Amino acid sequence: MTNPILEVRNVSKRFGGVEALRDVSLEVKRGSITGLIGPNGSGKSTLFNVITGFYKPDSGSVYFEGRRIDGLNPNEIYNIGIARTFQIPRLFGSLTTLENMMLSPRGQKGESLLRAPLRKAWVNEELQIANEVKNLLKEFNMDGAYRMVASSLSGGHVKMVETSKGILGRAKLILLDEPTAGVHYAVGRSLFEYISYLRKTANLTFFIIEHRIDLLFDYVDYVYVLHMGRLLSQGTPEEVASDPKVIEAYIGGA
Amino acid sequence: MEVPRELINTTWYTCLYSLMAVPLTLSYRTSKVLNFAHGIYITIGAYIPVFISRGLGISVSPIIAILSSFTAGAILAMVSHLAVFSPLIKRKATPVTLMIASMGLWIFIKYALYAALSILQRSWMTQLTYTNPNIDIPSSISFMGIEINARLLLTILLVIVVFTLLTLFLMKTKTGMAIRAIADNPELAQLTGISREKTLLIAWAISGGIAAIGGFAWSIFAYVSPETGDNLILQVFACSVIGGLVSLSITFIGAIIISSAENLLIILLNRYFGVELSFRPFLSFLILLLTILIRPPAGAGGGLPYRYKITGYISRLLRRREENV
Amino acid sequence: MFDIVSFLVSWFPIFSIYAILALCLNMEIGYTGMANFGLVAFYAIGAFVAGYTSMTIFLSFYGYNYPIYSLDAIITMGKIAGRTPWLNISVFILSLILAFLVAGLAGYLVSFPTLRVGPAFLGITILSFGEMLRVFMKHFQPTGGSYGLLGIPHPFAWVSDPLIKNLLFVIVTLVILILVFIYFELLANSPYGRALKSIREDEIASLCLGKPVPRIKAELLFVASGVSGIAGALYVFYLGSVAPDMFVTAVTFEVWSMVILGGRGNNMGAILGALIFSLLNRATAILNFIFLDLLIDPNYIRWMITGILIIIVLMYRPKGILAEKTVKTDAWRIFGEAQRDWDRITAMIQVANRYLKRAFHWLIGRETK
Repeated sequence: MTNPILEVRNVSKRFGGVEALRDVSLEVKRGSITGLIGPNGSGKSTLFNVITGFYKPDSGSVYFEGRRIDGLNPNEIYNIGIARTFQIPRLFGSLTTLENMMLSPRGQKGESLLRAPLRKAWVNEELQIANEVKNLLKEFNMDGAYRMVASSLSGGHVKMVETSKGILGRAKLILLDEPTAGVHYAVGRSLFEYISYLRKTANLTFFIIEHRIDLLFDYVDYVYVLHMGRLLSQGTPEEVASDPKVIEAYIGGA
Repeated sequence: MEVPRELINTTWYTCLYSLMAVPLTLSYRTSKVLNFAHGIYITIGAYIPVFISRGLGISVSPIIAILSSFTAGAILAMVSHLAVFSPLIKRKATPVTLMIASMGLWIFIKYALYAALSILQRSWMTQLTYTNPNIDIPSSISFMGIEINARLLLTILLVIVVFTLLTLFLMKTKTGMAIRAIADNPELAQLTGISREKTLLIAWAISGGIAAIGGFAWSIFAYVSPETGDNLILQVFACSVIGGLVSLSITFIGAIIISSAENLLIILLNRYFGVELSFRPFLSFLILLLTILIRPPAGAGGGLPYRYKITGYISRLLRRREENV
Repeated sequence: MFDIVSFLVSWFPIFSIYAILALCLNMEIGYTGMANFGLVAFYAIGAFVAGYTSMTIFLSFYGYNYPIYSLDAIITMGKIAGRTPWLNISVFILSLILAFLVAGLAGYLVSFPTLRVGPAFLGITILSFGEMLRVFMKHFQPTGGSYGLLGIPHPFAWVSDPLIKNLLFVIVTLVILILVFIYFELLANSPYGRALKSIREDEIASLCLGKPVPRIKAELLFVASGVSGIAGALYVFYLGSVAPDMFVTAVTFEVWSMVILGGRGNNMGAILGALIFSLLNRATAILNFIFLDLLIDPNYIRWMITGILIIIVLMYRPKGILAEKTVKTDAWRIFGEAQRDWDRITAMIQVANRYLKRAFHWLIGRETK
């Protein structure tokens, strides 16, 4: 259990002349909440995009549970157990909450062209997922929202539905890109409470990009700091907070 | 001295395609509307000189014909923007919605033209389809002992003048720079106080006008019919796709590529491999497909971060070899 | 004066062919968000495949070796078309299957380079494919060049009464339409249909939820293009002829108009759109027939109205007449919501069945008494 669930080794990525990531290596321990911080444009989102298969790294490699995953497509990455959320939540706007959440479980039998018209082939699985969705919604205190169209949900609810993707998808590792952006501080705190609750109960691992460092530092085990595409510092929240390089980068960057 | 026919045709088609495709790229780049009605601007541009010369029963001076074609195309494009695209964009229409709206516009104008033609044919008692306008151009000009086709010369001159003016306009004038700013970064451009609506209107007018000039150039090259623009749309799209729907200069290169493929390559294929000349449209389409496969246009067209299995498989094989070493 | 039966036999096949096309386009644009502006290409492929196979099989079966586009072939077909009923029927079925496969394969292959690129490029490519195909077929001698093929055997050519012959064809088209509708409804109201809608909403987010977006798109294009091919084959057997210029881009636009007016993402809407436009079509044809020498062809007016109508619908009622419904799977039952539409229908059938049985037993009981 001590071996890292995700390992990034010497990853570099260029866009034209701009070096977005340069020789970045890091590890995410199984069952941990790991943070990733850095000023704007430091390459955090690029790193997430490399891990989730949006980009192929120019050099270096990414390992998930000992298996090499760089170069896989985003759908394959999801199917081996890495879920991600986006900075601007990407729910399916004109579908209902129920439909949005029903889409998350991976490898559904009814999602094949040949089996789809045969109701018997997928109905049991469908009912089971729907039950799970119902329980989750109850947990989120949004029982009545199941038939609301996703574009009409409130900001906090959107975040909850977005986070639920990883749970329903049976992900082992969840990458959250600024989960508290655009919501109230209190909502953000309850979201983090929920995340650490999930970590304990569901044995999930979280890797989180966050701008609200005060909030993040209350919950994470380990933090990586990116600056100008390079790993600037790492350690426990206390170590990072007292690192002069980090302070300088943040003041210089801001 | 005899210049080969194929070479003349290639030059001529290059001029025609560039006059038609460059404005398509311009309008997509500024407004993000893929305009299927573009073909009808070409047709209208080809018909305006016909209307003038037949209606008045005179032969028209080329300058008047060009200017009136340009005006008609520009007005048509501005009306399409004001009446259709602008209100739809305000209602947050998706790109697909805009495309289908442009198709509606295209069908409407095309059949309105058909209707107008059938009325005019009766009242003027003259044939208006598969016809040419009477333009005041000598058939050939003798220049230092070489006979040059005056129509071709006029077309080449037209291309040079139009594109020089367009470049100067986009690079030097304030409006032109505003157009480029809107094309590259609409949000930022609006923050700097550029009026989006006014700038887009001018961009539409220019693209419609140039497309109509392309139509005029066609009318002195071959017969004009209500299907003129539609018959050319495949090639025009192919040129624009080579330009990635972004770059005006690469669109021009696209026009060269497509016209040489259709006039030179097909002859070579015919002579050495026995490929039939009817495969001509295949070539343009093949080039279009290859462009999309080799250079998948990301940003401008919106794309999917997805690599095909075959390429992924090959790269994994290569990597495995690296690891073994 | 107005003969309802002859109206039905001439109008209904056209209506159901357009309804099938509209259903296909609805699956592509309404559910998956793929802007297929070259629908007519797959329709044309189906038509030409059906025309080609049926002519070739018929002529070779009777031992003639005229080219299928020659005048001799057309005259011979007139003589032999009604001789062997089983041949007509089996050629008809074979043509439908081949039309499905070839058109589907074409859809699958053409879609391949365009799956990764945005809607503008997809639109350009498929539209260009349709135009290219039309221009190419005009010069392609084996299917008769720009004149096309004539004398294609009607599947019921062996029926002597023309009215019954046409009524049989109406029944066949109706059955195919119903089958296509049921199949697409089943597909749409399943987890697969939900995945399709997620692709329409946001294909990148869908990809990040593990949906193999390019594969799903290609599969759907295979199915929808194949079914459009079947529509093309039906059209050929209805007309008895096929020519390249029947498949201009305007046909694609007409089908688009049906889907948009009827309601994107709603299969009933697609059929409603087809109904409205095919009646409009018929009305102009009748106008044309009554006033033989009009100044303006009513068809021009019809097209102008269609163009304007679509723009107006897009502006003021973008959802169309029938708005989209949610994906009706069994998941809703967990929340105590209504079922799929035909769960109600099956419930009704069960009730009816129970009453029928009761009535039957009552009858039997009476008889035995």
